[in-house]
Amino acid sequence: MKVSLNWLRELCATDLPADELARRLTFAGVEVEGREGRGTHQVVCGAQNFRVGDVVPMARPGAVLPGGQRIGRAKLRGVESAGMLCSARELGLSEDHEGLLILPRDTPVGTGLEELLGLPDTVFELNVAPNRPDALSHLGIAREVHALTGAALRIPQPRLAEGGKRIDALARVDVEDAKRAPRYLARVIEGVRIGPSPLRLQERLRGCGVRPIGNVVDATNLALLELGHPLHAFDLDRLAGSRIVVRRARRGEPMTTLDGKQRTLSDDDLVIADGGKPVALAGVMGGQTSEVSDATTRILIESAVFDAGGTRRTARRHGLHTEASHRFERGADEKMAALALDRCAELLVQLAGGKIAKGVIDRYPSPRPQTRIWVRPARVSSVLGTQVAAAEVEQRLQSLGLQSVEGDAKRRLWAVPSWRGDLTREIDAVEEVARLRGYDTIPVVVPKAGVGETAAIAPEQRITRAARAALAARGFDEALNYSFVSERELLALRPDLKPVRVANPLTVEQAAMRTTILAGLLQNVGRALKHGAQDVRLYELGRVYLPRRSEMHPSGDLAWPVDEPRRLGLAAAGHRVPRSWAAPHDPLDFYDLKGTVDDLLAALDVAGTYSPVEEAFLHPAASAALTVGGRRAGVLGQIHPRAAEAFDVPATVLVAELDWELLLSQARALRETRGIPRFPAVARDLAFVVAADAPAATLLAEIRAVDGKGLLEDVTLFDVYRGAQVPVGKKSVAVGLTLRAPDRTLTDSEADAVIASVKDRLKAALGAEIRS
Amino acid sequence: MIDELNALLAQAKDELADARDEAQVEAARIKFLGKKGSLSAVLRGMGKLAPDERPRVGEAVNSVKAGIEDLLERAKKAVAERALDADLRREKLDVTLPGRPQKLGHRHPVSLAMDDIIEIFARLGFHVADGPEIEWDVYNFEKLCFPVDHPARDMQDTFSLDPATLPPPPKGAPDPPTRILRTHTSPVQIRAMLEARKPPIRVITPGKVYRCDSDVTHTPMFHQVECLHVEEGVSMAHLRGTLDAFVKAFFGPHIQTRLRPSYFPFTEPSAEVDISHPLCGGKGCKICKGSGWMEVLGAGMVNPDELSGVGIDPEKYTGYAFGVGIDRLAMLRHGIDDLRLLFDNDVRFLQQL
Ligand SMILES: [Zn+2]
Repeated sequence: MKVSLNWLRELCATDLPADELARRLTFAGVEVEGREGRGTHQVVCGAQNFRVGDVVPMARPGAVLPGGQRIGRAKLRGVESAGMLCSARELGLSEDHEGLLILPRDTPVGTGLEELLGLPDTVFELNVAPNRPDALSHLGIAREVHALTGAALRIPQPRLAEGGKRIDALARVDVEDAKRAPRYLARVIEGVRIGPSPLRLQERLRGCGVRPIGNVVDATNLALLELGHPLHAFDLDRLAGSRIVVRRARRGEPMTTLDGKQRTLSDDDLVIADGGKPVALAGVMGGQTSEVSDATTRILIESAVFDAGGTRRTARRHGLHTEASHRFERGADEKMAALALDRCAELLVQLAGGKIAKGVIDRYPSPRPQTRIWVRPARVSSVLGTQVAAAEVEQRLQSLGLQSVEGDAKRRLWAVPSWRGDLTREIDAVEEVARLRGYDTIPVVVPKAGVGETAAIAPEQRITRAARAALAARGFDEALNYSFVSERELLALRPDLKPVRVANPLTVEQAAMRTTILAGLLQNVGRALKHGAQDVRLYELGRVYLPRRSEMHPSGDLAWPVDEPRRLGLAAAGHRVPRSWAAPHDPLDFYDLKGTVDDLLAALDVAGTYSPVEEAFLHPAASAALTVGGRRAGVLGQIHPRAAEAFDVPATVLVAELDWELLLSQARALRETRGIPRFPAVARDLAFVVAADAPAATLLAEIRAVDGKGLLEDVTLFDVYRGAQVPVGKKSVAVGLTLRAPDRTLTDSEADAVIASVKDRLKAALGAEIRS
Repeated sequence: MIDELNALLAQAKDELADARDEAQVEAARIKFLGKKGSLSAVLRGMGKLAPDERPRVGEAVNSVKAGIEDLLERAKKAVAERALDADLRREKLDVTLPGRPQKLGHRHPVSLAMDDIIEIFARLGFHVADGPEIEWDVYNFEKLCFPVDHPARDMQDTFSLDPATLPPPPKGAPDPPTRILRTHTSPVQIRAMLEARKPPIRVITPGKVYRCDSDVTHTPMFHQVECLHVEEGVSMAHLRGTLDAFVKAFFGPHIQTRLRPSYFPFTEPSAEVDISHPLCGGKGCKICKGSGWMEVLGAGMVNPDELSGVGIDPEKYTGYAFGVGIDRLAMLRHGIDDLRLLFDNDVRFLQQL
């Protein structure tokens, strides 16, 4: 909201400079976001909207433009030009650049423009919180300044000269829905003459960001900006039956609002109707049919209070946000409605002439009772953590217009003024005292640590840290992607999972909650490769969003709406090591990825097994499932060419998606140690030929199954060979065996015996031919 | 005769100093200590000595012999050292060739900041509480005292979800079961209090939040950490103390905090919190628009209605809460000027960290 300092000073006689005022307001909770000095700037122009005889502003030679350029004497088309005629925008007054600013014909020629416009002025751009509708006006800010500085408040006291007919004879108001319109006031003014407002008032409106329209509408806007209560002027002669009916719209009822838009109303919309049709969307926007025009002579001024929630629903339904709806949505002041009506009538007569009909229509069946709150200074002190004296509490609350009803220094009942609908409880008063005295008066006290909660490092933190270290050692950079991606991409990876859709996404690329963490990572890989990256390795640890009951939080008031398990995603492309003179530049393959997963499992102290898997987004011959603790813990492998196509990445990209919740549940944060073996080991190598399709896991399992005495400590598969020296359909495999007895040095003959039984087992179970 | 012996030692010293290889050392040994060597020659003259002179000369002989042996040993070592050295130098590495590379991974600045924050609050006795990102509308707004049909809701542009794509609400779920993407981590306050039932409660809740907004300073998803402390006797002074301790632990001991009154439905009194700008040291620069301050978080005393809404007596217990944008903190710490960089995951950016 914009506030003119000149205007503000008329309502509260503070002589604080603008800087200090801005600071005081900001630190009392009415943030001054911006400031604008307003004066006249004089610039050159070549407009065509003026006629001989118009009075227009002129910039003399020597004047300086807003851009810093100085106007001199110049020759334009051979004619000497001494200065320039200006538009409102060129003068820095508004965005209106339709032509020269045409001043009233009776403007005394030669008068300084600033004097005519009531300048210079400073305009504050204020950020008013949604709970403070009372601060959405010059008077509201004046009240704040009064409370902060003690400077005297000057509330406008309209003086109305009523005359002519009684209002009851001229118009009738019926409120059918008093819940949605708790108060409806109206006055009638006859014999007005429509025309422009004086320059000074036009300028005042412009300064506050409101376009001057004509004296009648300007009067309603001036009263609004001054007192904060929305007003509306109807052309009484265009109200059928000279009637106002405040009622719900009929479903589908049509209406054209002032902005020229044809609207179809809902039966939740409150309308102001005349004898027949709606003439305004209550509290939001007027209608075209009853709009004040140049021909208008009789005005009905409406000053009403409309229900906040209902106004908001109507405004949202029709995509409207107006000065009026902005205030009604936040809650209007029932008492202010009466003052605003009189102030508006006063202004209107001043600007447009006419006679105010006798009396006021006031439909106000059930006035809101005054709010009263008990305030204990001790409670103020304990919430703020600093001693605040009872006298100070009382002084602060009084400065805001609260009135003491009864009580003593320990506990006092206060009557809250009608404009502070936000003050309903003791804590609200505590906040008022706090902000007026300043938050910097609150001491800084660090609470004692502890309170029964342990500050020990959670196992989960330890495990996660270990996993991250393993991934970093393997060269994986951490990524963080948006949780929503395009549904197309999700379905390219997981055609079996229908994602949760965002109803109002910013783009279709962010319209579906991810069901797999790989979509974002594949985008990242694709982008990096397009930028010329040779090697990309990324991981992301985050949630996926599955439209099913949450496994860990299934029901009750702590239930999670959907399942949000965490997943660890890996994506890699490029080479094993960066390009270098010192190492071969081999491309990454499945076993690099598997090695990374192995390292990760080792970091978590988790045992896993791998088996072939059919997964839609993975290469059918280069993918595996990981099993941990008997449960599927994820998949890894080379991406399927079709998925690669969907993400525009090469089909050599490797990916893994692991179930982080399962891994966490199986991982051990801290391990126990076993000491160092006391007796030496015997190492033996063994080479044999088996069928080419015999899985390594089977070979190793057969070897491990041999030893019954616990002598076989470790088996390392260190060579696999297919080629010239091996028959077709066979492969040669070499393993290293480590044998050790826990209680003695193993003899050669004991070792020989174990090796012999391994050989026998391999021959018998796999038809192996032993080579050495 | 003793002079003869000393001369012999001096001669051996001279000759061995010039020894180039093992052969020369061996030749010297034979020359001085061999059966036909110089020392033997001297010894042969012993017989001519008077008996009382013999012990003295014998001693001298032994000492010269030991001296020569020592010289020989040293010469042998020196020769071997020289040979080894020459051998080592035969093939020389170009130490200016680049080292064999092994790529190391990098942490994301936001997750790194999150880890630091968790650790800092652990020191202050706060533990981590968790909540869903697809949240009940009731927990995101109503339970946090956002009035229905009130503009306070406009403070946070909400992503809603297509109900047809959601599972049926589970038993005991809040009513109405409208689900949204949470706009802040504050609903975890409600969950933490419902779960704990009884204060003292000290939790932080880091996580992702969503608002439909996107420009240079807003992304539709970002990260927050919520801090909640409910206990008897907790005051706004404790809020200031915790904020101050946190900010100093995160950015450094010179960082100041400043509170401005503000409005959040779920806190009262409410405050906007500024910290002195870490990059310019509070002197004022372009980034902080010359003010020396940066707005980083919202805070306040927990609204008593929120406490009673979860069954905690607001007359007995008070609490404070605040919510910090983690992304903003990470940006300040690393001098990142464009928020969107955080979620582009461009490896050229990630690898700078
Ligand atoms: Zn700065």
